[in-house]
Amino acid sequence: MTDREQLDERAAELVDREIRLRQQTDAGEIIDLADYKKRSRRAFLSFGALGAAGILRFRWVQNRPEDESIPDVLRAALDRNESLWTALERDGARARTFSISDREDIRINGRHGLENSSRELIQVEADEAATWEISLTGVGGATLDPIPLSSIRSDFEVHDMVWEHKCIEGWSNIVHWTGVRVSDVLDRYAPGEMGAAWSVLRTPPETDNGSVRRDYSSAIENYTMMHPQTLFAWALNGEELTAGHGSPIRIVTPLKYGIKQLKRVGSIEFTDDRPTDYWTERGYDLHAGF
Amino acid sequence: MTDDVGLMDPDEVVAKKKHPLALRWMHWVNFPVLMIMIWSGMRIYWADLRDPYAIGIADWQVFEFWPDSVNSALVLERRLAKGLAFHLTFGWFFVINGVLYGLWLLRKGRWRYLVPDLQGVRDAGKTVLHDLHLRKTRPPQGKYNPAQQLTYSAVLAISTLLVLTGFAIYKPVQLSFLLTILGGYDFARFLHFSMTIALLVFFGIHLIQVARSGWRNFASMITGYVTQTRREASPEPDVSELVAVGNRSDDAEREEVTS
Repeated sequence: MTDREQLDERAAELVDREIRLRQQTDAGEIIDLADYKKRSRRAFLSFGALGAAGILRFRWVQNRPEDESIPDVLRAALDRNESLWTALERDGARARTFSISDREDIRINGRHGLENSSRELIQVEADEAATWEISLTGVGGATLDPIPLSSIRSDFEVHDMVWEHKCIEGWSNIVHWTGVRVSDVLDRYAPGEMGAAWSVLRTPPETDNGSVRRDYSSAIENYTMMHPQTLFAWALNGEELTAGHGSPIRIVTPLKYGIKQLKRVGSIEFTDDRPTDYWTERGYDLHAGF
Repeated sequence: MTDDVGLMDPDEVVAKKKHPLALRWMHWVNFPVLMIMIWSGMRIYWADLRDPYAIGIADWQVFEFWPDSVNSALVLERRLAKGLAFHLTFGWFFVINGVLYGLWLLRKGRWRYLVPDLQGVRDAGKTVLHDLHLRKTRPPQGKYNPAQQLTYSAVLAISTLLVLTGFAIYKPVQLSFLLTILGGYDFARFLHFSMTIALLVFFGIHLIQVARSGWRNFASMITGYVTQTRREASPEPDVSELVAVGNRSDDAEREEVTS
């Protein structure tokens, strides 16, 4: 084939292409101006009406009665989201873990349940920690034998786990926790309660060094409590927990945002009814998990 | 009225169908949904007062996302919980609208109008030069010009990435495979944010172009019809013009061959 023939072929291709392109718009239906004006008026009226309906609908959402600090329809939507994700929950799903050398410093973000009336962090001294107990309330309100901290620290297999701790505010840090599996502890101390749907964890209202300004609470589904990556932890990045991080014992899990990982566990109540907790009452999702 | 084209006045103004009803619906649903998503997303982003993202090198910041003036102008009022509730509710409307649009594009074969061919990619720059009045002729086009094709395809990709990164940081354990593909939690979050900025940049350009194109074009997105003379609307291709185009391309190719 000569150069000339190649160029002719290329030109023919481009003409074909342009004809094809034109067909995209050529097919459109043509109507006369009077008909257009009628349809145009109808279209603009519908557009305006739908726009106004949209704005009204948005205002309606914003002005709905509040259910735990957010419009009730949004609360219902959050709950529906969670039932969807729970239904899709993969058995045995694990959060990604990292190696200890990846660990990072983490700031103290929430001090709820840890402060006295002058907003200072309350220190839990060694002698108080030595006799620390987590009190347990069963479904229906029965008081169970408490879990001594000394038992948590000596009776179970110790795990070191490194994962990405995620804050609902958006930031995250890779941190290293040392502790024991909550499932191991509850299997011994509350075996009859594991059929319940929820655990509600609370900070103690009183300590040896004063009373707490504002109690903190966190509700966690029991399937997450019993997850192998949910720990009672006493050390962060290899150091004993400080007051700001929840000494002497806190709960940690990579399956929930930080707001659920209650610092300084004082009590756990098991319940089947939909519970609430500190941040849920303030408009956050009850599940707040991944 | 008669069907005989020959008897019609070629200068008569008529209206020709341009945008199908489904397309107009999906286009306009996006607008309020995206406004709500960006507004609630900014509430979530602002919850971390350290303002993690900025444009600049090391400590030298050219622009911080967002300056306090922007946050206060939008009345974000530090309500993270409400931001999350709106974001995680209205996000579904964006997902549903996007899935419907994708199915519609495939079903109607309309993706061919949208995705540029190789020649279209080459021609995109020419459209931009023409719009900037640096070039007299515009490259051949179908429903969308080559620059529109590139931009709209990019917006489709950006939106898809927005949804995927959104799901990945929403459910990083359930959707861990997605998180891994998207480069981990921090990077996925950065992508989610960047794609939002990209979408806002598109939105700015889109508004300018709509203003430039004038009322007739804007109205067509609402009515579905664009008014033009019967000659412009005529489906009869002007063969002489096409032959001229062929020759023009021919010359252009020859120049490329000899240079």
